Amino acid sequence: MEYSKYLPLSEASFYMLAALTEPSHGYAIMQKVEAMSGGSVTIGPGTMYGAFNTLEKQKLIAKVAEEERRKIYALTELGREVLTEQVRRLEIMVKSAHAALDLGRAA
Amino acid sequence: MKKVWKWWWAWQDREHEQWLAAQSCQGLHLRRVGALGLLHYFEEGAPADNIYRWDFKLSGGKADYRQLFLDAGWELVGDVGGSWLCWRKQAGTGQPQEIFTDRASLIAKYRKLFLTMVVPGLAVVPIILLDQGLWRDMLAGSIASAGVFGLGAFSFALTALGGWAIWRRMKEI
Repeated sequence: MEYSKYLPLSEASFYMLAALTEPSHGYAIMQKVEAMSGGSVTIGPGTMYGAFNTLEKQKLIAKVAEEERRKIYALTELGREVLTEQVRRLEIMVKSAHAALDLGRAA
Repeated sequence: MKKVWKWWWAWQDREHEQWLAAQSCQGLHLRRVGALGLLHYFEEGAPADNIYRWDFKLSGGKADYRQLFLDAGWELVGDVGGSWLCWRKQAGTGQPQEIFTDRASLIAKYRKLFLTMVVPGLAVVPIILLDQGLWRDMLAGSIASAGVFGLGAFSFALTALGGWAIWRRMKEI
């Protein structure tokens, strides 16, 4: 499976996918993302609504229910794979950057 | 309720938001807008530090979109044909003060505006301006044709100016 066309995920999409491992509606995701990121990432409703549309079109998330005008989304299997691949790539990046910075300090 | 007329163009949304915030500081709080967003109905009250943000929607701002904004603490205080929506939030609550929190989504708003307002204008108006019959009549001294041409040329210039302003705004983000 080729995931490159989905990657890299934007910070907002990344956190939204991570939050959607449990089905949630928009506002719940906002709160979850803020908690997950230790308050460093906040997603405004305009950004989130646009990301819902994009991620749904890409079939990374899917609407599973609707409660009082709130759409509830969940991660799809493809969404899970893309998130996993993004995490794998990020880990490589973090590891190599640490190594490079350490090397730079030692020299 | 105080009625205030103020002319503003689609590419002056940021300036208009700041003007609305300045009115709130003087105790005039937007309730709704009319006449394509040029007529403002203000509620008079205590001065407050409010943030106003205009969003541009083609889909008319569906129920789930509006609910998401309400949940996030934004109040709808202006609706121009379901395509321009003015949202308000109290400043200094510690909550996010922007409806768009990354560059990509903010740029997308202006791109949408550019594609819906500027591109069709720039594409259609020249067809009118370059119409041979119109030129023939105008050269024959028809005032009506000259009027049509003048109006077309004016719309074209305005669209071009708007397009340039929106483009510049996108580049600044």
